[in-house]
Amino acid sequence: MTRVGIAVAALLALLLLISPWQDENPKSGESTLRLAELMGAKQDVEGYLTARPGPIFTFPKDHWQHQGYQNEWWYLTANLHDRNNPDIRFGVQLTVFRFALAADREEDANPWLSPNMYMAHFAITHVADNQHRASERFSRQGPNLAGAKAMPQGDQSLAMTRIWLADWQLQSLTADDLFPMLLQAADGDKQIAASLSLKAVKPMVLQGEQGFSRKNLEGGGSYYYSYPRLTIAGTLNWDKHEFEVSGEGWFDHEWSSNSLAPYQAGWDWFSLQLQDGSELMYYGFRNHDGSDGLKYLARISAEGEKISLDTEQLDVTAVDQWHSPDGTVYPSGWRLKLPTQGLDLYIEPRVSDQLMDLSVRYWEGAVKVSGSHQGSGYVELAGYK
Amino acid sequence: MVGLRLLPPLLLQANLGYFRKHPWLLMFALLGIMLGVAGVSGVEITNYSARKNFDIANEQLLGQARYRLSSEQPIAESLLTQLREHWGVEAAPLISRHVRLHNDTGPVVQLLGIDVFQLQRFGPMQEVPVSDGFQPRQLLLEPASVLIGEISYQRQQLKGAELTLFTDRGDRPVNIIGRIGAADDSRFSSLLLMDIGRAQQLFNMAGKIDHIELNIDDDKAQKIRQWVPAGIQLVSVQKSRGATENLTEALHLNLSAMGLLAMVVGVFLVYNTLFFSLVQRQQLFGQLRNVGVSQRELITYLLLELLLIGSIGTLLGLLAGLLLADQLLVLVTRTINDLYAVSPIEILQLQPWLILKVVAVGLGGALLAGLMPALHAVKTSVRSSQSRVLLERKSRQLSQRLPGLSVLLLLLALVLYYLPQTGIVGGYLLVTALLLAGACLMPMLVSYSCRGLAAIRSPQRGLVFSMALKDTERGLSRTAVALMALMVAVAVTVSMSLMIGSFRSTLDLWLKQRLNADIYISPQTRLPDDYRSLAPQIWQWLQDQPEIETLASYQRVSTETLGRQLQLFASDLPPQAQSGYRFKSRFKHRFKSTDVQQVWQDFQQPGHILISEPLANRHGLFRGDKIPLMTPLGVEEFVIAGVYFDYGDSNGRAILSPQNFSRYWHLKPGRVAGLYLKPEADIQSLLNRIRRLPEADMLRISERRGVLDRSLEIFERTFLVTDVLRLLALLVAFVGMLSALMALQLERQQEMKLLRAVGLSLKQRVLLLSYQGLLIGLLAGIAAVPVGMLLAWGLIEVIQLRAFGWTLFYELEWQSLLQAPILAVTAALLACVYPAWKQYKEHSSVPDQILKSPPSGRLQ
Repeated sequence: MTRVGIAVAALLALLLLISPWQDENPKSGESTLRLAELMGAKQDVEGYLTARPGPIFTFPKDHWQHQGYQNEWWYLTANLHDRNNPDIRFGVQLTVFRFALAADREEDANPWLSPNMYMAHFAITHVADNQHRASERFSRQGPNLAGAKAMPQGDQSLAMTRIWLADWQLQSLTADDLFPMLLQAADGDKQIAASLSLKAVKPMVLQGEQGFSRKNLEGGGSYYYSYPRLTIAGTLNWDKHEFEVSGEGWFDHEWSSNSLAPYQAGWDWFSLQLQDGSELMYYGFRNHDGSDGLKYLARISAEGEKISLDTEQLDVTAVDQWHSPDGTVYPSGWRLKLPTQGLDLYIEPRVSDQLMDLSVRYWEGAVKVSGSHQGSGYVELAGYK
Repeated sequence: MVGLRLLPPLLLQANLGYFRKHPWLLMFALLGIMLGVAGVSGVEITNYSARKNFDIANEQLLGQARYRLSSEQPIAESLLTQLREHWGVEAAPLISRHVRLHNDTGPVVQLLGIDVFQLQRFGPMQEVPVSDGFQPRQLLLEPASVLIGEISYQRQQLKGAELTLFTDRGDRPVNIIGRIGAADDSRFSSLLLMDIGRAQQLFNMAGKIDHIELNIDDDKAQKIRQWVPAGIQLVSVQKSRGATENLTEALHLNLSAMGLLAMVVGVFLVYNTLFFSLVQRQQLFGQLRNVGVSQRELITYLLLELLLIGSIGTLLGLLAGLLLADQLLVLVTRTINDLYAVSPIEILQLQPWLILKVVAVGLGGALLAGLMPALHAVKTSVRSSQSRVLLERKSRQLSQRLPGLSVLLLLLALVLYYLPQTGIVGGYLLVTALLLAGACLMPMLVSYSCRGLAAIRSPQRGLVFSMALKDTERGLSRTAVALMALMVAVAVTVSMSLMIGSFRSTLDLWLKQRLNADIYISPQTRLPDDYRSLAPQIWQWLQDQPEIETLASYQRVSTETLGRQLQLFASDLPPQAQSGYRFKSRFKHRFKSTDVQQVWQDFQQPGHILISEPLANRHGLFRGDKIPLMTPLGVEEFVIAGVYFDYGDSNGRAILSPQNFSRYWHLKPGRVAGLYLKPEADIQSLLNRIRRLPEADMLRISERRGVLDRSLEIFERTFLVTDVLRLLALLVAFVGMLSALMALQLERQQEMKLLRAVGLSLKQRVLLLSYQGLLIGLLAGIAAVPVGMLLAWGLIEVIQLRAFGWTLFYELEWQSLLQAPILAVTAALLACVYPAWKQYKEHSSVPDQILKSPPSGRLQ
């Protein structure tokens, strides 16, 4: 779901951070804490297009960046393992965020004057080593310094979708569809790199109501679609080692201008791939007053059919905690019960510290699913303090 | 001064009493330290401030970037995209231009077009305050928006947000949306910031940028160097910074030299004064010892006295130095602005270590000057009665050893001369050795002169003159130091005058020879980094004019050789222009001339180059050697066709023929045209026709006279700084002499009483004083002439050559030479006025008859 929230927070943080002359500089992490404030009254969506129910998408165009919307993200997570030794497991995340500084762009075709700012997060979790490394990049759109659009490839005249920031990229390998796709990212300082090819084994799913994902009862929402199951093969680099890996992944694309309401503090988000061939996508909001907010759960059948489930009977309970170095307490491990679906799942982080300790701080990591069903997935925890 | 309490009160009282009676001595000692310290601190603070301001103006914002991609022309921004995509490196675009505020005569400021959202990655800008309500995104979103340094905004007395910039594309209105930095933060002086996209709009350069800043390590740099397209150079930012620093090095070095010389004279002065005060107090010290003051106490006291005088003098000197620096900095900054067309800031930059250094020099100088005489005085104080006799004997022994010392010093100078690898430090040692060698000869000179003069005594000369001669020779123990101080002071000013004079006349001659075309035409520009050439149709038009005999053409670019920045000229030089160049021969002897014809023939050959003397000297290059040169096609080796004398840039310059230049550079040669007219041509009618050309508004048309005058004017302004310092040195020297001589005379007051008692009239006594003053002044002044000449030789042939690599032509200005004895004699006579007046006063208050017996050296 709603990494739009993160996108907003991230890009507002980005403006604070990148602004070279911030005087009262926010300690990293505080930016996340200010999330609701930033997404509430201070958020000026005047002049931007807003997400409304009943969208009609056209592809491949809607894979690309949506000018006129304030924020947007493309998001890939994967649970991988060494091809020669399935016990060596990895989590991989690459997210590209876009944020517009202004609703319209002026007449001048000068690419530097595009109001689009990009940020990308790249992380690898090395489960056996109990380690997680995360890295980030920033760039304005500029003369193709970053973007999400169809780009002609080499000497071929075909234009293929490309989502990139500098040398980090998600590159489609066909003109008609998003997948198959190539993922490339590396951080020399952190000594992590990924070069993966991704194929969609299940078709695209429009989340929420035909692609409109509701965030609150005040009309806030985003456009949101997913590719819930990808097969992945390629190489990962960790320190001096290179691993031949394979596994499964999940891809999301979401864009919006009208996001959270002022009372919303944060959310928990799960994407789970079960061994029976079905997937679950869950999100639940938390309000400032401590109460639970809007919840949403969808199950995608092995055949690719999406069912939005009634959350009346749903029970998601945290069973453990993890204390981050700055003292923030995150839930760590959950029990998810929905008797009507025969679901009773234990969801447990593969590494407890998968904190994205970047200019926007949140927890995002690979999880293992057990209980009534076996499986893997990713969890995102935002807005904790 | 806790130590004072431990000393016997008698000791303090006695010495205080002494200084109360001789306030002059105290004043002179303080003055000596003060002037010396003022000289050193004034120059050091100026140098430091100018350098720091210059650095700040240049590369403040580019913080951590380690490499820069540049080309002779703007770079396509797609290169930046490729660098970020293919190499994943931190790369930032940069447009760097000079513009003027308001109009074409406004102050020059640097305009940087940057990716405002990437700046933090490169610059140390996190904690810079910015005016309220400003957000970086405005720079991107609002057209023509600029950020200006608060300091510039205030200093230029700007009002509101609207501002007009004069650019090479004409006037452009911009909008100040924020002010950056504190009001006293000089890092943001003369600086405008824009977003890169807005800067492209301002300069009509869509798709282009001037540089790409790279934050990469050396390995990556090596790889990227191989990868970048031809014509684009990857240079280390450190290196290009080094180059700009070199530009001003010459000026700073000269200033430092003068500051140091002022200090040397100051130390001499202090030494002299302290020496006198100690000699005078010797009797007093003896008496104190007799009444039970221990030697240890005496030494402690004298050390404290020295420290006190040193501290007060240093403090006063520092204050005076600050005032001096404040004035000097304006001159230095203007010079830098003239020479390098940048507008650095005029702000005194103070550093604790700088102050500490100055204090150390001041106190150290005082201790150095006073310690030896103090110890000496204390040691001899016991035998107070014979001390004078002993002192005389001792000093005579010493002066017998001085000529030997002098020879040793000369030998040292000779050794240093033949060891060029000792560099500038060696050069300074050499000059100091020469100076001291000269000083050491002074006592001998005086002694021989007095004896000589006495031998040719004639009856007319009279008793008093003979007395003066005898007395001067006999009193060498006291006068030797004063004499040396005098000579040193005068010789230093003479040498500085000569050096500056030679510099000036060499430059004058060089400019007159070099700028020998009748008219110069160049594109009108008021901005330093504009390389536009003259339009082809203008060249065509010029070729068709009947008055013009021949044309010379010039273009200038910056490049690199052997790790240094270099100004490279592409010049098409007809024989008339060629006559403006003088070449250095392969050999050290300058009179052995090079085959000029051959040089010019070689110059036209492919792969040949002319280089300037500083460049040649720096790397030991001669005609026929090869020199690597950074070209847009990579590093190429050129054969040196000749080494020409040049004083324009101590970093060095080089000239390629236009054919050779065009082989490597895409830039069109021919930015400036030099017009040589036929002898009978009517220059006015030609000028009028040029001014009526449709492009005339875009042209800068100058007659030779005008160019020459402007160039000379700029150099004159450079010399203004040195003139001020020379004046300071002169002042120090003069005050030094005055105080040395006056101390000498005042010390004789006792003796005068004695002479009075034996019957010398007032007139005779005043005459005696004057004769002696005159004698000393004259001898020191005359001796200073050859020593000064020798010093000037050292400064020119050794220090200038080693520091800047250029040969100045030694010129003896008779004014400078004459100045020495006049200065010395004036000071000497002036120094007699007060003692003579004192004689007169005493005379009128106590008539001769009443005086019965000479006063004993009683404790007062």
